[in-house]
Amino acid sequence: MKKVLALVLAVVMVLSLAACNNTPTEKKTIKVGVANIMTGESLEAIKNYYNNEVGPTLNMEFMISEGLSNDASGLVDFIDKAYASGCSGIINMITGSEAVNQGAQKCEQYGMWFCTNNSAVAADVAGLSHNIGHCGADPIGMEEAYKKAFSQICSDGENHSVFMYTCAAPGKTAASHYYSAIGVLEAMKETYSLTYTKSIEDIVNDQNPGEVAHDKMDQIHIYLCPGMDFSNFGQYVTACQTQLQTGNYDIFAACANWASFTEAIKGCESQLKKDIKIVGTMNIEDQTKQGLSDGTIDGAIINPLNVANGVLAAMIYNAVNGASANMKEAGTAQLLGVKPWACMSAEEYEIIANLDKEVGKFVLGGNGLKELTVLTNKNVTYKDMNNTLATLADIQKVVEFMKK
Amino acid sequence: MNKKVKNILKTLAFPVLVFGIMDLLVRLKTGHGIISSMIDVQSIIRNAGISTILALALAFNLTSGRLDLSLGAQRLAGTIIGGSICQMLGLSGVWLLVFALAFGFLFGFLTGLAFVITRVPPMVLGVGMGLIWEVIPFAFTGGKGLNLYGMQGNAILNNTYFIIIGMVVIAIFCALLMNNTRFGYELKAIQGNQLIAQNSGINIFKNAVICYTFAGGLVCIGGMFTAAYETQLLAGLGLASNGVVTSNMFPMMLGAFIGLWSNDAIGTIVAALTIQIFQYGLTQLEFSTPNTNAINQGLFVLFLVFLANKEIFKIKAREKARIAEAREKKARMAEEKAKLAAESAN
Repeated sequence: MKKVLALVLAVVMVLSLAACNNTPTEKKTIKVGVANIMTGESLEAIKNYYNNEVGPTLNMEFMISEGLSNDASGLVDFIDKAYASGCSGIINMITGSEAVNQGAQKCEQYGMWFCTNNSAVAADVAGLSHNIGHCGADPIGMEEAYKKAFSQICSDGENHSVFMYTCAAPGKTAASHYYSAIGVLEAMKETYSLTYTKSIEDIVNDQNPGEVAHDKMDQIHIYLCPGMDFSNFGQYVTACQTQLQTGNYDIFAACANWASFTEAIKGCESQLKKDIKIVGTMNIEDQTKQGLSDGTIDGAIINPLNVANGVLAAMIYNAVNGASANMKEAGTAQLLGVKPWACMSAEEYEIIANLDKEVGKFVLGGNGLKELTVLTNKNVTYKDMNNTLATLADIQKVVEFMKK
Repeated sequence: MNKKVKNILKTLAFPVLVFGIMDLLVRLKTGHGIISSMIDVQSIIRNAGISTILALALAFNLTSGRLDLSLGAQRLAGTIIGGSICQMLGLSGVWLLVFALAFGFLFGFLTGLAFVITRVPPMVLGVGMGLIWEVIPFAFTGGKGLNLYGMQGNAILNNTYFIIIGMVVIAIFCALLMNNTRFGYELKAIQGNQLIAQNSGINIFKNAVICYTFAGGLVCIGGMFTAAYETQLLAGLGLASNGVVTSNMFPMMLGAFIGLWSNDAIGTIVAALTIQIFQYGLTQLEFSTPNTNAINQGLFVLFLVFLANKEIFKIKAREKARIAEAREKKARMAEEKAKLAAESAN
């Protein structure tokens, strides 16, 4: 009897050891919530990227919200739902500082990893253990892109004046808008040797629309119009038309929603019989291609939409797989910057026109994406990710990178 | 002076006075007036036209005590879905308006039907229906909304004369509907007293459904004009769409007041024009959007206070006269009493 029992126990033990295999036949899918604010083609591009590229590549599943409003309550609500759905992390696209703070704290409470698509570190929550960082349009990159675009346009020796819709620039509500406006003001200052009466930061942070005061106002006009009230967006279009039709401005710049101003600008062009150049932050989409082709747009600052999204997904992946410390510096969340592409012609845009829209053509996809994760590089850090992003600033290098 | 002429002058006084004041302020700041080119005129007329249409839409239900909070969502749904289907069929221009109007009627009709069937208070129903209507264009377009950028054949929708004609046609239609049709008479009876109207044989439910239907159609026409000018109309959620429509309550109520000297339709046009001149002036004075909104809403509240108390001076004057008469009578009676007393003493 004792021998039979001993034999049975031994067999059970062997079978149990065999079951404790270190290489599971099926890896658990990582579920991530995406608190999205995009609508339109941009939303579709995000969904396509996450569901059809990142998901299969990294074995991740994404719960993407509808276009949330840019405030904390929508984000917190979504985090509650994501937690209930079993999400391990949140990719947050709501940039308001209060939203980021509350979102990070909520995720800390739930033990969910949290990262944000924006261009500034939220200092109040940077030390939270589950806040693994930020990735967005590189502020200095945006500033340099606008500076380059304006320097090019204004290099013809003529006096140019600009009306700029700075959207969410004041108070760095959207840091990329803030630095875009700074880039324009710097370019105008350098090109025309202007002396502003206030500091550039004070000018950009002014909530009221108005002409920028400087020492050559009889020759050069610069008008900044901030505005985030999208429920009454028509007011900004009216303000734009009011100023443009004075004839004082021949360049229009917009940090967002450039297409909504085109009818107003066309009206002014036909009234004044002059060409008003359009420069703005745009996405890789059909209307950008059309605008550059038919000459409506003179400069497109393209934020490669899905590069930041890919980096954030990789950060969550690394955190879930035990490498959260590598995403931070001494326990503090860091900022990774995606440099924009400045396209000043339809030919330049053609190189990137088909990027980031379909499987096989995403800038960060396949092996390129895997290289940012512990899947292929166990010691990957946020610095390695930043180095990769730096190489992607050059459109030619992007094309080479995608061949990986 | 002839009464008709007096009424015309009173009606025109509003936009003329506001124009004068704002023009002076703008000249003091900028050195030029509000109108410095045709673009200013076109901008004011376009915005006034859209505001008139939205105000007339609001008036259909609000004057009967029904605040429909789903109008903004109907505007989104009808404009986006109608416009998208129009694009799919390869149509453009006026067809966009026709499709928007058709879908606006549909969503308005369904909202009215929900109201008469469920008997839920209009404001509560409006919130619920609004949330539903907002989801439909969002789902239909995958969150994209309506994008008219680069679409050929839409120049007519931005043409000032076309907008003026559209606004006038709609205003005439509303005026005839309210003053020369059975529907209009019944609506006025319901506005007076709903219970008495019902007891006298008026079908208040049919009237309500028709009001909701017309309101839905009109807001979608306004929505399509806006979409044509801004080249897009984004699908939103969370009842964010309602602000655009409810912000036209001021022209609607001011229009009803000005309409005392003509009719509601003319009053609404004049009111919308007056407010747009005022707002355009504030834009030229470089007021920020929050400040402009605060000023607008502040004026609206002051106007409501005035409406609620406009008879107060007449009442006070009558009271004063009555008190004076009573005092005089009292003094006369005292005098007579003293006289009688003196006579009896003698």
